[in-house]
Amino acid sequence: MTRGILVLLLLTVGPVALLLAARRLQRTGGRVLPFLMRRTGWLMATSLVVFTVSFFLMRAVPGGPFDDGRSLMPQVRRNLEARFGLDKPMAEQWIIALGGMPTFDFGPSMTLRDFQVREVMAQGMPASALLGLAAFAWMLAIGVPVGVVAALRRGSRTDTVLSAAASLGMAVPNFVLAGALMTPLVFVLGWLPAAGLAEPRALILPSFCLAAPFAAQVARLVRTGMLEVMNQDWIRTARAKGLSELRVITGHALRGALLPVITFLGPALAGILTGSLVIEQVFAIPGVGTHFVQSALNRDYTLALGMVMLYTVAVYVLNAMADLLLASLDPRVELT
Amino acid sequence: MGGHSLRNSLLVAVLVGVPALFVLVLEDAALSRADLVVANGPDPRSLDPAVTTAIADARILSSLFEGLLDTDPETLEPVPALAREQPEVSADGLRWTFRLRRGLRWSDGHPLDAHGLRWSFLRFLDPRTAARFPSLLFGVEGARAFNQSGTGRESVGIRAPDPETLVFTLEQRQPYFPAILTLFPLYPVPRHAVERHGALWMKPDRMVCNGPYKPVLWRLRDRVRVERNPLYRANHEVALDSIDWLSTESAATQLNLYVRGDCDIITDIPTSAVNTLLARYGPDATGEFQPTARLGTFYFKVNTDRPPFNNPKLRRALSLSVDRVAIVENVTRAGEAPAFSFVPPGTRCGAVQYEPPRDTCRFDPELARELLRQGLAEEGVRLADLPVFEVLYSPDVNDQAIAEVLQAQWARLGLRCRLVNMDSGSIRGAIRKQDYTIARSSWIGDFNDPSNFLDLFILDRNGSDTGFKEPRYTELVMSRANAAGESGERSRVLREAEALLLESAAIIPVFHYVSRGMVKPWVRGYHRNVLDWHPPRWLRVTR
Repeated sequence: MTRGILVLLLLTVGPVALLLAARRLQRTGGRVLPFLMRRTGWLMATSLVVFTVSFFLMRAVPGGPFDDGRSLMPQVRRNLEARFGLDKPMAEQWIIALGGMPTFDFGPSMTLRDFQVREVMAQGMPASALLGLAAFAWMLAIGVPVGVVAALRRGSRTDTVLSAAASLGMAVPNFVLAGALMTPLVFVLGWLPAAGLAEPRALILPSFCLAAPFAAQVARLVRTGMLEVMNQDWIRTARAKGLSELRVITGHALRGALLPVITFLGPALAGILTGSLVIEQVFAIPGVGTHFVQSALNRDYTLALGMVMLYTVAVYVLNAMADLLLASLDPRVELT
Repeated sequence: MGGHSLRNSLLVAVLVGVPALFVLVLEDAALSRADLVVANGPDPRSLDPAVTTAIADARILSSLFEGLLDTDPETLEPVPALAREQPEVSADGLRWTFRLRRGLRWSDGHPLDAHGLRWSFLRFLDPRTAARFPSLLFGVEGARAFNQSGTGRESVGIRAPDPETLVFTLEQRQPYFPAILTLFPLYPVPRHAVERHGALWMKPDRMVCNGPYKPVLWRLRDRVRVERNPLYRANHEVALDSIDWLSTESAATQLNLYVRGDCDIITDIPTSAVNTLLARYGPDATGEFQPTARLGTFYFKVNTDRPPFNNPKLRRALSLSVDRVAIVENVTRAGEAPAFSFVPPGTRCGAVQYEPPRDTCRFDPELARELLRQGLAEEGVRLADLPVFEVLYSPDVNDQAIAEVLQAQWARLGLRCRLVNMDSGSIRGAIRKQDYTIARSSWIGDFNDPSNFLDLFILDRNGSDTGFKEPRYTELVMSRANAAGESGERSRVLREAEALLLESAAIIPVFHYVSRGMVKPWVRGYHRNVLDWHPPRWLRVTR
């Protein structure tokens, strides 16, 4: 209770202080530090809002954590509610839960009763992170070359085919793609396992399916970027210096063409994170994504709240990182 | 800060972080294949027997624990397990005396005796344990009072006069009491481990159990691995050294694993695959897929307190106009039986077979129309003035199709309903608050006796969420049936009670489930039975 009140103070006063301090620092010429302070401030304020809204919304939804099977006798329900502190007034529950939020200490899961919410996260995060990173790698490894080739062969049949494939990639939901690829690769040829993450090969298909729509988008961004850049004077200068076409493209053109992709990284990372909710389910990957969905369906108040906060922080931090990267590549970009 | 140093530190983070992550995830995941791999459905809710009621958990727990009695997978009769013989029952049917085997031990070598068992049963009843189904033991003297008030622990009718004897005293006759003692929530838990580790005693590295296996690993969304418990009393009869219980949230994933040969048993299949699987693996093909009748009923609950269906004739009209045969032939398709009663046919009632009243829920559109007319006259409303009512169904393919069939069949009577898709948690919440008109529901039996079904609707238990409050029903099921003992008389009394329930039409039974698991041909000792009960202790693999 006391802890909750302290956290509430921290999350209301903290952001204001951070934002003010950041503004001051910026006047003295700081760039990265004020940026980080501002983002931290906003993250704290956002967390409080997201936490509070989720907390009350979840309890407003019909059904509860103990409606997961057979109906219970009223007394049994009361026993369970007392055990998880659900018999306390709502405001009190909220402030108590808030106390654990900064350390992700949401108490025990209400449906996976042998686990603390923190344990569930710690078990699932490595697998989800690996899946996300692999998808990220696919996205760039496919998206960039395809975009470059399409731009260089602009108007040709190659361009048409690649662009059509990109549109298709963006339109097809990842689970449909998963089904379509699973049949040949898993069942007919038997090259890849159907589910789980017990060997490195198992990562290939899920991460590819997760990445496909984003790779398609990257390809389109790169193609547009390249087309724009290739007509610039400095490219002509580079060619005039006698550089090979390959050097011109990789050394000069691509640098400019990639900027829109970097801007896209923030949304892409968020998309990969949320997209993995489905992919993890389809491929039975032991990540956190499936817990997100299941905890909401099961009305596992503590676990669902933990998952919402985890994803909030992850999206926020990844966005900040993408912005930092963009600023480091393009000095014209202001860090806000 | 310059762009370069920022970029370099990001690069270093990636170069170190990614390989570390790879090692962390994959190193950990590398496991040799277990002797038997079962795709078991959702993650276990808990490995503490008292606090879970999930069917998937029951399968795992049956490999870790053993109760006083066990269900024989062939005959489904309760057979001695921790008890060394069948219990002695006093002439009035109230005192059940169990003699334990000698030299029983927990997996850590600690002795297991009657005092420890008594403690375990009392823990199950203790309100602080928050067991989901304490009513299993409410037949025992003082058990209900203790569970509901937390006081009177010493007056509960479970006594251990000596380390080898356990005596239960019941409040009234309960002929199926032995069957209850086979159920997984009543598996014994070790006092010394629970008292030492508290609420998290069941973590694999701490768990102490008494069954053929003990857990060595539990990874969420992945598996529970169990390995042979050398101290199990019948260890020499156990064939398999290790079993993997895979967590598989979707039936499609289960099937993928099975077809790829990554597991030996799956517990369910996607409904959309029924026809293909029957053709390829059915009884006429490899025999791996043989849907088998199961004690379980899919039904709709009708809120008997909410107009217009507070009129019993209108409810009967709903039930009589459902063509159940069409539903099992066109929708579920895996050999489910149309449900003309709540208790599935084939349920045992002591020595005899229970005969449910199967006439009340027949398909009779003529009678339905007649009852509708009478009901409307009684209520003084015209058909056209009846409000559109809501039917709650869950997002399962079968559910939706069934709800649509019902909607069409009721439309022929001139009744208009709206189908509302809700996740099962919300439906259960609505039912609990009795805030619904018609809602899907289901019940899967735990033991082979009509009481396991009919107890649902006795007063002040769980089932009054339909508004069905018939004192006579409760009297029949609770007092008269139990007083009748083992004889065929009990079956007749229960039948009379069920007829009351069906005539009230507080429920609309639709079909009886089949178990839809698949088993590789090399798995032996797997008996297909109405409880879908396959204790791992008896399973063998001949590859």
